[in-house]
Amino acid sequence: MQISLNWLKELIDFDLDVETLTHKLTMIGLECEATPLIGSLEKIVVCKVIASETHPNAANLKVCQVDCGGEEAVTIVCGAPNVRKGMKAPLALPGAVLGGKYKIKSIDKYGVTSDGMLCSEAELGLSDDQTGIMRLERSLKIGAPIAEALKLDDYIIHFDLTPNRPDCLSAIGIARDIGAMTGSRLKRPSVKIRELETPAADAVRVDIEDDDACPRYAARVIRNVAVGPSPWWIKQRLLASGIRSINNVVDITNYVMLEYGQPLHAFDYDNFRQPQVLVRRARIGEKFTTLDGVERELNKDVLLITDGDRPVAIGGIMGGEYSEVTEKTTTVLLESAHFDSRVIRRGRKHLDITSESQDRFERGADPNIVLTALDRAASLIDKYAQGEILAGTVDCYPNKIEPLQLELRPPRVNQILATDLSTPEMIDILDSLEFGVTPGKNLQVIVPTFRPDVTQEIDLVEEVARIHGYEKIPCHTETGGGLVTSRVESEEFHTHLRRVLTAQGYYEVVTNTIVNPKEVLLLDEGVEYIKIRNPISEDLQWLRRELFSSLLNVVRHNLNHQVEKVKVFEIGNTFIPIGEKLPSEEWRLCLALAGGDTGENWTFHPGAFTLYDLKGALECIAILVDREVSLSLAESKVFDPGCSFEVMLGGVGIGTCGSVSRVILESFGIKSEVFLGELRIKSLINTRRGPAEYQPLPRFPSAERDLAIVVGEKVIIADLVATITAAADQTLRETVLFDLYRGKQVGQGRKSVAFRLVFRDESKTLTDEHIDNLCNRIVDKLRVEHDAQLRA
Amino acid sequence: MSQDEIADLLAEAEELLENCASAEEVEALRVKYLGRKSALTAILRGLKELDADKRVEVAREANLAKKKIEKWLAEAKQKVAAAPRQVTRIDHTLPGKRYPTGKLHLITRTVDDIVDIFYGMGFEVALGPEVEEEYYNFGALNFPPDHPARDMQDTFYVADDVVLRTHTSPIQVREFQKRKPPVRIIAPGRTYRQEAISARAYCVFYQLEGFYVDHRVTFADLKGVLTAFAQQYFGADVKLRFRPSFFPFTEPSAEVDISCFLCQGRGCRICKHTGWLEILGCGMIHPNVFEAVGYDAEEYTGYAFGMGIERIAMLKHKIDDIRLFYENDIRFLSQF
Repeated sequence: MQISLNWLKELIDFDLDVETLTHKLTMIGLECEATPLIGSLEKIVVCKVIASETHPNAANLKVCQVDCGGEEAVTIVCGAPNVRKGMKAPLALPGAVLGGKYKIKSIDKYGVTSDGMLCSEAELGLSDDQTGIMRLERSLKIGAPIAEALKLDDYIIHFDLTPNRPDCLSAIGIARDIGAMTGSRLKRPSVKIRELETPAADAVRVDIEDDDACPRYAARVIRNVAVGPSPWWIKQRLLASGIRSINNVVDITNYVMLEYGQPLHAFDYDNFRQPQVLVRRARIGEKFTTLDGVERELNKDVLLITDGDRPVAIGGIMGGEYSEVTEKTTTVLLESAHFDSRVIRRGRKHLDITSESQDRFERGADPNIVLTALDRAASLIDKYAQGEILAGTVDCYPNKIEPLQLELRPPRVNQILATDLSTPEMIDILDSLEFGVTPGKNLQVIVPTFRPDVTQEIDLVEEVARIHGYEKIPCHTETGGGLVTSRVESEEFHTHLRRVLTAQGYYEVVTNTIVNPKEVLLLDEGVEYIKIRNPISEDLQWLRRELFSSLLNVVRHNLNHQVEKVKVFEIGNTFIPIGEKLPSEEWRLCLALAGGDTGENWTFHPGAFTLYDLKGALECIAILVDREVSLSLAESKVFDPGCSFEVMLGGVGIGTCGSVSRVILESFGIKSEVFLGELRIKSLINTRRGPAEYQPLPRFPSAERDLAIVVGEKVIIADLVATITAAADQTLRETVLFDLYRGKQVGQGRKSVAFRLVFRDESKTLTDEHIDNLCNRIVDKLRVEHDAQLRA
Repeated sequence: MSQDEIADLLAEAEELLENCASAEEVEALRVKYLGRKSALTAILRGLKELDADKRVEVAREANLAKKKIEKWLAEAKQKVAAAPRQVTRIDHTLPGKRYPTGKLHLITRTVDDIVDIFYGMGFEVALGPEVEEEYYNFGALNFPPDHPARDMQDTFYVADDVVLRTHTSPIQVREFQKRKPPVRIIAPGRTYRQEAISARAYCVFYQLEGFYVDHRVTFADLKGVLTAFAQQYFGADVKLRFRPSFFPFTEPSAEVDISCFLCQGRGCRICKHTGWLEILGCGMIHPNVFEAVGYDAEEYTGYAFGMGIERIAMLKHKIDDIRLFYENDIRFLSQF
């Protein structure tokens, strides 16, 4: 909604500059800002063409003498086809700047000096009409600055209204709120109707089939209308509101809509085949061409205005192509009706059209302003289009919509707002907003029908609050409430996970939960997904069940942008359909590694990531639940068969990890190896051990022995450790793998494995003899079971 | 040993100790002059073999010499301890030895910082589902069916009456159904809007909801809690402005602006030269919401507020494209 500042000034007295006004309006809930109606119009004046001759050296140009109020006439060279002797037009003098950039200078045109330029409406920024020089009204004073003469010295106030305030889609509605702020009273336009004796009722009858959808339909008939251009002042106001001028009759309907908020429609009466208006629902499959030239297929949600049979308009939304008022129109049927907002909303959704009229009806118009607006428009058509108004209004309003009556308890207002407003203060505020108030212990308040948003006592509390001013409500920083506060356990655990992983060098990522079906099907086909019925694109349709595809996209993006080390994790939600109304939402942790350490620190060597990097992170996570990680080979569509694992914690599977299969990497367009691991956080939390129990610190010293053996490549470490543990007794406290070596010295297909064994007894110091015996036993058993050779 | 010899010894010791460069050298000299096998120790041990009259004199001389040497030793020790280490061995400009750490996502950091402030004020943390019944997302929050207010929020549907929540406010309803006042909760979470993706809008974003219901909760309490929050989060000088607004589930409703912390309210590009930044919406919980959950609106009142996490992070860090949050470019993530 945008409206001329000068128009508001006509409707209400206020002594505020434009900035203060917009600030104050914003602070009572009508957010707005002001812009000048037109850029600078300095040095542009009204002139009169007193002579016009063909240019001696250019047949398509004219040399004009114009009077612009000075002592002498000014010579202008002009190429417009419509320049005529005697016309008044806007003249840009040297120094004027058009459109903010085009500077006017005295200029030689084929031997004649032109001391300015006659302007079109487009050149002044008033419309897009550039067919010729703007023709000014005769009454304008020669030499007057154009801004003054055309009342362009104005601001446009642009409102960003909340949906609950349909009343402010009108100049009167906004002026009413200004009045509540300043204490002045609204000056409504006076409406006087001159009628012929012929009754309108003879020219048209009105029937409504569905009076829930259309509670009221009123019409007037005006004949002998002279359709033509509107007077400038109407054009100017439509311009300020961003509405294109069509002709005087259509402009007047739009003008009155802007004034009262009541949409009107003017029909060419001669296009009615019968002298009747019938409001009915459209039939399924019925077609209708709206005035924008589009043929539309209708359904029962759409309400039609018909001439008894043939539709002439879509009620409250848009008129038809063949019933519009044009230059040829002589008799006008003027409609002022009320439509139910839900019907308009459904119709709008079905047809996918918006209009000024639809917007107002959908937000909620005032059923009881219908006749005032109709009379106002009729009287303007009488005055500016020489129409003759038939006697009376045909008004079909079977069930009058009565204003709502509410009770307001003044103490309740102060209780909610923590204010100490007196009852008279509250009455004043409601009265200034034109609510009817009957004083008493509790106030009886009649809510005007232009405020459909006010339906309960609390709505009145808000009216009092906003006009009183939110800034005057106190600010309390002491508070009551309970002492028991809690956090969500899973959230707390997420925080711990984030700390551990960022400390390990992982970056946290946050990705879209809405995923691409094509991508997730590569990972996991044959399962059900939550599907969005109205997706914004083909690529974003389903809710994810896992985080793999999300993280593969992050990996790809980074690798494609010269990031050589991608080490990321996400703690994200997944959605598993479980046959109930809502899916099961399950939080998961996903880790991704691609590329390698790039040598950010001079103390260690760069190198490609391996599965062991990922396993290291899993081990750090396991510390949070006081468990150890083990991986067990498992099949998966996502991973390479040789590097695909289930992640076990305390013997329980909590997720999977591995090296992403080549097929998937290719489909995602990733060239580098990627390691992924995904854990179900709830399962992870469930493996958590209870509080650790204190173990007394050792009282006797421990002894260490290093053991280096060479074994076949296929022997796995866990088996070696198992053998060592079985061969030793309980004095073996730790078995630490501290070196793993492959190379010429150990021979092909073999590897050297070095363990540090720590022995300790809780009741005595161990003897060397005891330890040596154990070590011999261990070495023997390793030899027997794993063909291990002791390394020299 | 004669007195002259003692004098020579002293002269030598003084010179050597003065030129000591290391603790090791000082220790060697201590052994040389005061050790068990040193000349002075020998003199002192041999005293009893001397004549009584000479014994006193020698003892005095020797003890004096010992004290002098001890003093020089102490001085030399101090000197070498204070001397700078050999500078060639340490290059203090080399980076320290550490494994490079990662970082939290800016959304997580922002949520954590804000939740911490409210937790400190006595708010509990609660969460709710992202796939939500239409009833919790709209109906119970006083959005009538077929009401234009539902158009404020373009909604993803996954079934006739199941949506991806468009705001965190359904958590209010779920928590109210679970318990009786006082209820004071902060609820962060992911929300969805069916909007074309652009620099200003993404189909997924984070919100943080706060609400408090009790006897006699007032609009002044709402102003208080948000003022206290904003001053902790944005700085103690920040000013707040409450403007009337509209949300179906609060009445009276307000938008809250803070004075622009980038230009101190003087007006800049970020605040569009108004000096104010819109940061959240709030209001007194609508009686119809209480009715839907079975609270007595005469007995209890309450406030609620909600803010967009990305918007706050974007303002605070001058980020001009919301898509950066979901693109997860490590060159972006590593900046915060």
